[in-house]
Amino acid sequence: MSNCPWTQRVERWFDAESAEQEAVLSHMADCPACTAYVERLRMIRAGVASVTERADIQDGQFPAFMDGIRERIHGPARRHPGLWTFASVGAAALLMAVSAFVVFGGRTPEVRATAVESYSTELEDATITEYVSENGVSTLWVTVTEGGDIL
Amino acid sequence: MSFVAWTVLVAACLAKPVDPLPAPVTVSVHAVAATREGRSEKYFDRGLESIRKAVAELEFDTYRLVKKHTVKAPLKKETAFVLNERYKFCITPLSKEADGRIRAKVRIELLSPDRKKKPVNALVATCNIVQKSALKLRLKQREGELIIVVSVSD
Repeated sequence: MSNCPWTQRVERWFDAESAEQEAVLSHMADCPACTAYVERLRMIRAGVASVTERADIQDGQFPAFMDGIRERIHGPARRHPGLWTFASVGAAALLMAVSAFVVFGGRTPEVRATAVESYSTELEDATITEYVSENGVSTLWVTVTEGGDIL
Repeated sequence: MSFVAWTVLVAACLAKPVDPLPAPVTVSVHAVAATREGRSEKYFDRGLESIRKAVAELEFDTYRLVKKHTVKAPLKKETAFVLNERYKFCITPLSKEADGRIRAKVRIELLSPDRKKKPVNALVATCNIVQKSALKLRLKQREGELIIVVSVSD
């Protein structure tokens, strides 16, 4: 908008509400601001006139229409992007856990040591010693008391 | 279709499939006479290279082959063979465990010179044997020991 004190009189003349056409035209001849302002008003009027199809907003559409206006004024509505991120990470973790259970759940890890559950002997004066050698071989050693002889 | 035919069909569908007989276990046994003969280096009879590691910690210097035998042993059935004139080796594979080990009952019979006498169990043991590993049994003899190295695989 122009800062010229003639602005309102120029607007009234532009809207054909004024009878002082000669005075306004005389002023505009010496005022580049008002001349430029009138030019902008003409462009706006021409732009509005170029819209040939006008959309009718029904009563049911009005709330959405107003929401759109409010969104344009106040910015887009919050869409909780963090919630979706959290849900995606949770779903991925669940998928990995299920996969791990399917792959490893049914299999017992391989055991590397031979385990002796029980042992006994019917030989008199004999004892059995169980030990695991340094190379991991489980051993049962049948010995007899001193002086004894298995063979 | 008749009622009988329907009954047979339903029964066939519901019947538990018969499991095939479980495969036998391969049992490999090396029986050696271990003695001290004053050697500077350990001596092993030919064919005993595979048990060097199993007897590495023993202080004997001479290992002579008594019996080397590999046999297919069915599950839950005792398989036995004579090691020498005094000992008999018996093994009963009991189950194949989920962790890969084979559970088995091992028995060493001491045979009496008098064949009329009942053999005595010199050792009875139940073990979970790791495949590709070994179970070692040591029995004192007049000179040295009789060492039995047992390995199993399915």
